[in-house]
Amino acid sequence: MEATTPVQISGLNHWFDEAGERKQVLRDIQLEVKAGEIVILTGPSGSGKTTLLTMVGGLRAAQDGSLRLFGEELRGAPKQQLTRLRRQVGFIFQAHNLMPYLSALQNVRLGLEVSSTWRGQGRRAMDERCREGLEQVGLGHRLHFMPAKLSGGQKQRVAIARALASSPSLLLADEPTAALDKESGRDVVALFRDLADRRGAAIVMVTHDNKVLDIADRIVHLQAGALANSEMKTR
Amino acid sequence: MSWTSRTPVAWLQLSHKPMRLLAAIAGVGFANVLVFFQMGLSGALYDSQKRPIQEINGQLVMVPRRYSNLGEPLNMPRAQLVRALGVDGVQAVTPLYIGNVDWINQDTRQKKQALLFGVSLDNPALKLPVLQTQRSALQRPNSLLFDSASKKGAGPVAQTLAAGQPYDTEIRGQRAQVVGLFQLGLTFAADINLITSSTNFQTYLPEQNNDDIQLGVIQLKPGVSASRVKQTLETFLEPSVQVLTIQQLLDREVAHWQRNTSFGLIFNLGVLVGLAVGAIIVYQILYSDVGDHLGEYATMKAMGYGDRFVVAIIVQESVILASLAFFPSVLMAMGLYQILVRSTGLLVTMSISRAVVVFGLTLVICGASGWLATGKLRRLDPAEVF
Repeated sequence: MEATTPVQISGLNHWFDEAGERKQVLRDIQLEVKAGEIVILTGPSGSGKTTLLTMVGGLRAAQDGSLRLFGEELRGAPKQQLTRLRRQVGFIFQAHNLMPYLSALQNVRLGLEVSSTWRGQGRRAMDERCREGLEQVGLGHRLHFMPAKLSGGQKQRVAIARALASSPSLLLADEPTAALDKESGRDVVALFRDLADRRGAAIVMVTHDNKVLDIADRIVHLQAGALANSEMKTR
Repeated sequence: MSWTSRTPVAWLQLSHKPMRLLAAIAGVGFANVLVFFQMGLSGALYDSQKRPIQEINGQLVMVPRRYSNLGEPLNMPRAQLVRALGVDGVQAVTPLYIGNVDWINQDTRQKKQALLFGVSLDNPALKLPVLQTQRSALQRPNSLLFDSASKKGAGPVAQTLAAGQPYDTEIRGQRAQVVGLFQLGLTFAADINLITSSTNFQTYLPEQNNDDIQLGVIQLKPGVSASRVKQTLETFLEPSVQVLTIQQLLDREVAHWQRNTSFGLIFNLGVLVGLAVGAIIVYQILYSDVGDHLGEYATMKAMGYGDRFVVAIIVQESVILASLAFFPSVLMAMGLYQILVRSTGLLVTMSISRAVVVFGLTLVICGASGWLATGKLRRLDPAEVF
């Protein structure tokens, strides 16, 4: 059986109410992201990248057109359905958004505990997975550090480990390498590539980091809420 | 399994800032102590009202139909009490005379309200042992016993007696000599309690008809059911009198002070204020906590945690605060009770049932204000994290 395409968007429009005025932020978006595919989303600020990313991640219900996540229609979807779907999505935010009162390992574990499957496997199995994940981002020696004791780049890498820990079917990343130096930036996108290739995850990444553009299967450009062009890359 | 594998987010978040946690515990603890203080005081005051009744030397009492409380004596014919002797199972009856008199402090010449009890020396209506030991002294005219727990303004009675001297004063213009002490404790009814013989009672209150008594004590033979005798008595006694068990008399007394006076309202309000203070403190703490960590909660929601999960964190925090604050506040309240006992002579004691009630109330109040504080969280849009 062919796996459902993780992201299927067609004719998607979206408006924000700003000071009583209805402002269109997304116009007639057509986009598909297949399993195992990495799509990089670029565009000037205010072009609607973040809005599109939040909608793909089930953080907002779609207003008009069609947005299917793992085959489920999100137009007018209720809160509970969005919450449930988000459990299959890994998010990496521009700000690390770590819980300051949890250690690196606990922060990553919070990403696992949202899944009842992982909870069922118990604390030890989860801790093992978290340690492995932190080692992959080069933080094996910082497992029990609190975020306040970590550098900006280290915090971002903990956030990446948190998003990757549960091997999500869809990974959404907003400028994930902005806080990282060149080398760790490369390491991180290598992890993304690995997740896509080996686990068949679909990945959508907003980035302006030229150093990592080459890992994309496709680069799409958003201009004033509309997809301007779609450039196929050959890897 | 799945429960124990959860990270204790609520606890980790609270304990991350220990000073803030301590301040929160102190706040909730303060509210608890306030509630304990009100409950302790009201409980003790009601208990104090019960003390004289608990010393009644019998199983049933006969009082006038319109009886309301011990401090407002009403007359009834002694003949009614004597009729009780005819009922099977009744061993003896004895009157308790009660009257309000003015007591004069010999040092300051100040007048004080006193409650004077008159008992038959052959079969006293009160159980106090001093009535046996001082029996011969009480047989003298004008002699009486003085409650050592009376207000200090009564004069240095206990000190005088301790020095081996009787304390001389006057009641209603009659010479009165204190020959001994007893202890019943203060009631709302009077600042001073006095006991004398039934004969002396007549001298101090000469206007009283010799055939009238204020309360009749009915003593039963061992093993006789009080309720059965009460039922029998009710079949033939005049409707102007009623028969009560000691427990019923106790309940009447407490109910009188709770319902017919402002005491009940005042104490209930005090408890309410304490609970409100606790609720406001917890709400304030958790509300600002929610505000400070809004981004983190939005992140949790984005990660796929539902409203119930994030709301449960806050409610758990409120329960943790209530629990942590509880034991220190019990200790503080017990210390406070000691101070109250020493300064007022009231019987303020901590009981397990009171502690349980206060803990239950604190939990409910904290949980509720925790839930209220999560309004913002439930409306929080996870898209705000970007």
